[in-house]
Amino acid sequence: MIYFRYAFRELQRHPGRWLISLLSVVIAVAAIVAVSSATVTTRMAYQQVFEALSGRADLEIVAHGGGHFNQGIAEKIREVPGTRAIVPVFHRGTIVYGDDDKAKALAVGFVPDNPESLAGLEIVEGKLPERINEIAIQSSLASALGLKVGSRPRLLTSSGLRTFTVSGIVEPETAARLRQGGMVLARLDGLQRVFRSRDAVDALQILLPEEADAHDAISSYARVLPSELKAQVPSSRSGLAEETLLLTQVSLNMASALSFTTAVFIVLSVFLMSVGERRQQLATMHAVGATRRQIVRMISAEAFLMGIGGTVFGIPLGVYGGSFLIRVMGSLLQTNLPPAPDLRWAIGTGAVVGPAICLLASWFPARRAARVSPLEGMRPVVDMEQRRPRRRTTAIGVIGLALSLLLALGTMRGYLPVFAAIVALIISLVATVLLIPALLGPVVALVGYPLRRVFGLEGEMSQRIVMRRLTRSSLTIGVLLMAVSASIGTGNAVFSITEDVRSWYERTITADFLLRPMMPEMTGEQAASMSESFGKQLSAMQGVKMVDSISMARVDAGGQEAMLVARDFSLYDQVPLDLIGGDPEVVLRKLRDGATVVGSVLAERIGVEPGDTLRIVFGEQSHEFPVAAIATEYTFGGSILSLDREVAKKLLHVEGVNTYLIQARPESIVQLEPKLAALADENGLLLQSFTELWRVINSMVTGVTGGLWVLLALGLVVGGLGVINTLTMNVLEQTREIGMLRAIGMRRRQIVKTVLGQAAVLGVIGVLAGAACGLSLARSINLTLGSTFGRYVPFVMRPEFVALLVIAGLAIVMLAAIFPARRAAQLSPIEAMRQE
Amino acid sequence: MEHVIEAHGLTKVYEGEVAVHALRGIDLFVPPATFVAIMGPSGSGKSTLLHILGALEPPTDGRLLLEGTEIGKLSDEERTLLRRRRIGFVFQQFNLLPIFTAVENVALPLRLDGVAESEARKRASEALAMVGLEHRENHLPSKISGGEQQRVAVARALVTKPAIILADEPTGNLDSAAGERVIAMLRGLVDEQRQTLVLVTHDPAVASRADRVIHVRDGHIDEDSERPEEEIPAATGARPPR
Repeated sequence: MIYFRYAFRELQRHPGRWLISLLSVVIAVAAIVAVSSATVTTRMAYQQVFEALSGRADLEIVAHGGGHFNQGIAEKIREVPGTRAIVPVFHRGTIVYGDDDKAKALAVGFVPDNPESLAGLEIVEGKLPERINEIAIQSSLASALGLKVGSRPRLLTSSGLRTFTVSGIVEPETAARLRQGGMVLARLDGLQRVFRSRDAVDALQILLPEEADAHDAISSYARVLPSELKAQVPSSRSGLAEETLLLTQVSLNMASALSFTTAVFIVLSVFLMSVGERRQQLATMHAVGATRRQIVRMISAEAFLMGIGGTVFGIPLGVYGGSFLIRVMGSLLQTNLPPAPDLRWAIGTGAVVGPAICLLASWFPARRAARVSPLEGMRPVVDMEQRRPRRRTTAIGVIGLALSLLLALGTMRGYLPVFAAIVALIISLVATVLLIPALLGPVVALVGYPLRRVFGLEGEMSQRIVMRRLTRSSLTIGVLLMAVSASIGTGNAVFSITEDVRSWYERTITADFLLRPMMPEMTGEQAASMSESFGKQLSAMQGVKMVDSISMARVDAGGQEAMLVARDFSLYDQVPLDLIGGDPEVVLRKLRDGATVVGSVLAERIGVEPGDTLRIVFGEQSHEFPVAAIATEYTFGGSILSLDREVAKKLLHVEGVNTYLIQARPESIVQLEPKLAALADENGLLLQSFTELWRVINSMVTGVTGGLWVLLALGLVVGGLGVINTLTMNVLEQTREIGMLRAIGMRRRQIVKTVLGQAAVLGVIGVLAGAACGLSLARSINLTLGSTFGRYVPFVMRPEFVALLVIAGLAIVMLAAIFPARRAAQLSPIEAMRQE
Repeated sequence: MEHVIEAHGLTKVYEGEVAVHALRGIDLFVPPATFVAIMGPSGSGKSTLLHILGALEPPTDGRLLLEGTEIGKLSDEERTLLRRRRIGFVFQQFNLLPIFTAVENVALPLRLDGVAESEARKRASEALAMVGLEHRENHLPSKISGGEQQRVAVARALVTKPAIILADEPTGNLDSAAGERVIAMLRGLVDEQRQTLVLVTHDPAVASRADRVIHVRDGHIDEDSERPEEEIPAATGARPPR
């Protein structure tokens, strides 16, 4: 307990200094909690959907690319030895209309005499549907719409709105309750009929005996399956959705890794200073009998207390930030994620991270404190710091830099997972900071030259004082470097991405209105399609200039899952895609002639370039298409193919319309909207106006950039607090010297200049080096993400942003110096010289 | 100007829980080219007197004139400039800047006063030569002995050719040989450069080299004795400036 009492007193003695460290720990804990709770929530939501949909199947038979196929194949599969059960899968997105309200839902087909097709569902009221016009409805959905057993809701289907009778209420056994909408259970043959997919299934799930080996089974099924079908382990289906998540998660994880590293550095520098300052005290303790281990424990207790403080304040902040991130991710993914993150996880993470940062950062200072000899306490501290950089530190720095370069190269070439880039990032920053002592001499001389010119003798003194405290100066520069480079690195990356998203939307959204049955499902399941005649009805409306019908289908492109988007390119004068290179007019012509444009992520993954051909498989159809161009895509993780609708219909049999894009005559937009809204309501469709989409995107971008600015400001403030800390320490340590200087005639103004000069040296080096590191960081984040996702987001170098950060950084450093400088100037020479 | 230092009824009270009367009405008149030694037990007020004489802190009451200038009427800035140009300090702890070499430390008061670096360095070299340390010019304080450090401090005190040199136990941290050398040097400054030296010491041997010895006790001047010139040992060790 004595450790904690001592630690507590120490914290009380220098509240300002410990507040700085606490703030940095709070920020790091909050960032990590927010990011992890958002990531975990999104992952869990996905997992629940897949569990609910793929049940407990051991294997599934699907078409290459995911289109539907004839269920007749089940007979052949049944003959393969070891098949325990086969469950046909048929899922369609729909909208359920109650008396007053409507809701999105997933219509799931089941086979009444196949008990396995109900796995994971349990009937809580009424009975299972027996007739084809009966449905069982998920309890949450039923209560939301006020439906009971016997109610007669309508369902939006491919053959229009159909009325069903509720025969029972079901409840999933797993917690698969997304707000996205509930589940509606109906007889398979009935659903197939209303969705105009007679005998078609999305997949066949296969249950194997307990002891069966899935891989052996896959090869035995492959022998009986036609070439367009394949057997696979169910989870692989999540691939498309996972890609969408990965980009966001990698960026978020990078940001939290940076805040973690910065916090470790700030805490490390504070502890090193504190231990340096308490050398005599520690030596005295040692002399009166404290063992080395006790001294280490004492310092660790301080660190632990601070870690706990950081955790206590950081977790609520992180939980709040997490809920904001979840909303942002939800709008990125165009779905509603469950709002409440798993708080246990967040608290657990925060509780570990806070103390971990502090204990990690205090380890080296604690060891240093333990090595203080008892005799040191008895003599005045003359020169406790080494003036030459340690060789070992420099060597570790060089090795670290080389290692991070290798990791980054590995990620860029695709040999390593993208998370290796985060490790590389941290290692490179730490290595750079370790190299500062070795580089400081020449750099200070360089920076000091103009300083000496401007400040004269005071400039020269500042320069020498900075060099005299090599470790302390290096740590301060390191903290500034971290704060500035992290700000510029993530800032530039975020700006590049948001800029890219905006320009993508600008080029690809050519319509004024979007009409579709429902928001695109996050799983990429097929949405209910609308009839083609509806399009004609739309075109005939007054004020409508153009109607583009879009069909979407999950296909297999060169062995990868992708979303095929077929549209009427003949309607356009300009290609409505964000092309990467290529002449837009030529590409448009080629698209009309039957070529495809491939999304950048997909293109990178399957290695196609303009001029190649690409085999696209949809259900039983397959065809080779020339690749006209590569385009930037953000939806479905960028795994998108564009084809002309007529071509897709003819060569791949892609039918139905999933979205109508409506372009209005500019003068009639206002009048058209209420008419379209009424039409949408009548047919149970969703109308989105372009301006509404813009609003959504803009608010998302504003939210992200707003959050970024807050983080940047916090980062710079923490850097500034670090400078206050260092300069205050320098002034305290130089009290006697300042007293003597005042005695022999140094003016207060000159003293102020000396302290400001130190800030200028530290600030200029830290901020400028940080800007340089930040820019290369931004570039490498860009390259790493680009090569992994195949989408080379154009690197937007924003000179005004970098300049703003540099100026703000320097301003904060100089502002931070004012307090210690005034303190130094106000020292009375006599008092100062009395100081030991 | 008859006296370099002219003090009338200097009083210093340190306020606190218990007020400490460090000086209780000191009158002191020092003519030019005089070596005054101030002696007295610990806490007698001798260091306080020296600090007030050096314009480092103001008296609570009384008047102080240095070279005819009334110190009480000066602003902090003016006092600073007066210290820089007319007073040289030598401290017991040497108080050299560890970041500067010997010659840079000596040049410091000149550079603070805006003297060009080359000129300041030249004059600092001359001052170091006067104290016999020309071979230590480019050494950092941590690389030379205590005696040498104190001689650097003396060189710093005399580089501006001040009218008054104030020394607070300059030999307190030195062995007797090094102490003797420093005192001989200071004596030489008074005899040859006609500067006024006020020196606080505990050491009767050091006081024996002074023209006048003042004993301070409980904030009063207890005894003020002038010594005939023939009794004072001659200066040794200091060389005339080149």
